Amino acid sequence: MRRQRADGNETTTAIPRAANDELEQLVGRAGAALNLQCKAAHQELEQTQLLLADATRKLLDSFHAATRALSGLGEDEAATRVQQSLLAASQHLQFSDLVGQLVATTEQRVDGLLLVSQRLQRLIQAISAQSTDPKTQASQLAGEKRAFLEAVAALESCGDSRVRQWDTQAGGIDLF
Amino acid sequence: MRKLVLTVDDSAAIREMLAYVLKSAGHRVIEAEDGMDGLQKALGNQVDLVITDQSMPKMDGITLVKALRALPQYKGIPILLLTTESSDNMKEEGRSAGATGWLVKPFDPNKLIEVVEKVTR
Repeated sequence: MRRQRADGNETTTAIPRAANDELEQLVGRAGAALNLQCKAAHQELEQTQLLLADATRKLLDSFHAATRALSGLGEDEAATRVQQSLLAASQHLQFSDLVGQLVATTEQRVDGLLLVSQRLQRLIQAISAQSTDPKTQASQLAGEKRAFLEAVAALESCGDSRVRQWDTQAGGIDLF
Repeated sequence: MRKLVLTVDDSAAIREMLAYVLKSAGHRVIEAEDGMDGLQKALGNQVDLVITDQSMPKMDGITLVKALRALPQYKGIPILLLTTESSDNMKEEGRSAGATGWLVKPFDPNKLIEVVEKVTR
C-alpha cells in the first residue's frame, strides 16, 4: 500500500515500519514460546535419563540376583532353560546404552534449539532498540547477528546420532 | 582355554553384560570405564583380548586401539571394537588403526563367545 505525501510523491516507508513492528512482535512471541518449550523438553529429557538409569540399575541388580540364584541350582533341564533366558536377557538389556545415547543426542538438539531461540530474542531486541548513537547500535546489532548465526551453525551440526538400531536384534560382526 | 579379557565401555550395562557373558564362558574380566582407564589397565595387566566401545569420554576406542598398538606387548593382541556405529567409514578407520574386528551393539552373547574363541585361538 502506498501513501501520497504532501509534495505529491508517493511513499512506502510508513507501512513497512508497521509491518516490521508486527513481524518483530510475531517472531518475538514465537521465540518466547520456543524458549519455554525447549526448557521444558530439556527437563523432561533429564527426567527420562534419570528414570532410565534407575530402571536399568534395578534390572541389572535383578539380573545378577537371578544368576546367583541359578548358580546354586545345579544343571538340570529347568536350570539350562533359565540360563538360556538370562543369556537372551543379556542381549536385550543393552537397550539402555542405545536409548541413553539417543536421549543424549536429543538433549543436544534441544539445547541447540534453546540457544537459537535465546539468540533470536536478543537479536530482535537489538533490532528494536532505540539508540542515540547509530554506531554503537550498528555494532551491537552486528554482534547479535554473529552470535545468532553461530548458534544456528551449532544447531545445524549438533546431534549426529550414531544409533541406527530400531530394536534390540543383534548387530553385525566384521572380522578384519 | 581361560583368557583374561579387558572390556572398555562407559555404559555400566554393557560392561556388566559383557562380564556376565565372558565369565559364563569361563573367561576372566577386567573392566574399564573409558579409553584412558582402559589404557591404564592394559598397561597394568597382560590381557589376552581387548573389547572396547568407540564413543567414550576422555579417550575414544580408535585412539585406544592406536595407543595399544604402539606398545610392543599389544602388537599381536586381538582388539575388538563393540559399538553402536556401523558406518563403513568408521569401520575402515578402526581397521586402519589396527582393530581385529568390528561388532555392532547389541551383541548376541553366543556369537560374541564364538568370536572371542576365534580371535584368541
